[in-house]
Amino acid sequence: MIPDVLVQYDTEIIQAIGETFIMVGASVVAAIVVGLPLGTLLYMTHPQKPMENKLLYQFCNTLVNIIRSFPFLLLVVFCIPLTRLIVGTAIGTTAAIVPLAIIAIAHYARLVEQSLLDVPKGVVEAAQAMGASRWQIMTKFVFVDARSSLILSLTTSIVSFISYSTIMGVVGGGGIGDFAIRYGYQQFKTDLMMYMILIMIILVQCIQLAGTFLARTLDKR
Amino acid sequence: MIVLENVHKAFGKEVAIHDVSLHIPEGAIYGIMGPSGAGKSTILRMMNLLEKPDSGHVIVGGRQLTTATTLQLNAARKSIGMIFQHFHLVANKTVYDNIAVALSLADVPKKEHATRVAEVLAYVGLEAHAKKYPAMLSGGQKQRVAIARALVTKPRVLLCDEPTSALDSNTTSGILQVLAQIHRDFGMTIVLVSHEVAVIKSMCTHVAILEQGAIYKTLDITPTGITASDNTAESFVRALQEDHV
Repeated sequence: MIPDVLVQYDTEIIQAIGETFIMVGASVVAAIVVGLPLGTLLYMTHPQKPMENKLLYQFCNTLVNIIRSFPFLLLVVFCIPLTRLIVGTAIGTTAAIVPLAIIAIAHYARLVEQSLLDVPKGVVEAAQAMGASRWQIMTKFVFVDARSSLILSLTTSIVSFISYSTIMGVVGGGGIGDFAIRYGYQQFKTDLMMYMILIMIILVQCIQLAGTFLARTLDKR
Repeated sequence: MIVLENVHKAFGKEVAIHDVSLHIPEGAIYGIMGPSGAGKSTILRMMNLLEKPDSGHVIVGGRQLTTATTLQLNAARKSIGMIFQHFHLVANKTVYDNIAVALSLADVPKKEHATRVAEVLAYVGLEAHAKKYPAMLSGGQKQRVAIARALVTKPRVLLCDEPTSALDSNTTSGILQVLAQIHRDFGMTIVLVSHEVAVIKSMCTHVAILEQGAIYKTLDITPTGITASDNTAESFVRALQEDHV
């Protein structure tokens, strides 16, 4: 039933899937904990928004642009000194989390900004007319209106994080992508590589389906 | 009740409001009208400082808004209700939540929300729609929800920015009847911006006519009252036939 090649490498495959989950999971946490507030700051300091601040907006905007301009492989290499500083080593799954978290934060922050900018201006005006503070404008109005878009953006981001995680083999980060290249491509086990690609397709499909379902359920527009 | 003193506003080089002074007495239904681009909405939005004047003063209920801190301004806004042309409801909140959020912002204890929302929904005739989302309502119903949201905190002033411009004539008369009822029942000061002469004539006791960002004339008038409408297809037929007689 289960192909022999998968049985032969079952321990390595399970380990690779685990590594992918760790790397992507950490990226998602970074995106939500830091990327969401950063995207919110970008929105709030945007021209004609509740906390308009040209200097702060330009600083955050440029920072996000610079990070997103890097080809990811170069970002990984560029981050090695910082990675060493934070986790004490530049090699392994834990070390791989640092560049992944950085790109995850920048990636999701931009998508959050765009989602929030889609909230009708009138909703914010109505909130202001009711005497809402900036915090209340965001939590009781803007996030509520943008919630399905924020979920779809996170879904898109997670799929990108999975793709980014496949590159982490260069710093010994492991993961499904790295396993597919080392065991499948480099050892001429094309069938093994194809099975790894299939696992990634299934993973992406599941995430996209779940994200779309949740967003549709919450979207009452 | 509402005093604007020499307010001036420019957007870049374009002067929107030029040295306007206005005194709106307590309990009045005050109309502001004029052609497109005359500055009607800008003047109205200055009354709760959604639009901050470049110079001049805005005083509402004795409170000087132009020099107020953010906290003071937010507090003052809680006693100034506002409704908009395009309703500005939160699409992902139910009718109940759209109204309850105003109570929550006004620090009304949560245990009072259900009763207060039910009262105000019954007042605007939407008691059966509390669990619906705005997308499930007609334009007139959405505006009634917006009125309920503005009314639920019992403000002393209600600012209405072209509240009927996005509605058909039958729905318009329904909304105007609700506003007139609010004025009768609560003695609220209502400021009504409209480009429709019929709307102003039917409702207002005072009118300011604007042109190119300045007051062209102010008038005291006697409201003619709102013509009731049965809001049926037959009423459209009758209206069309009357026009052809």
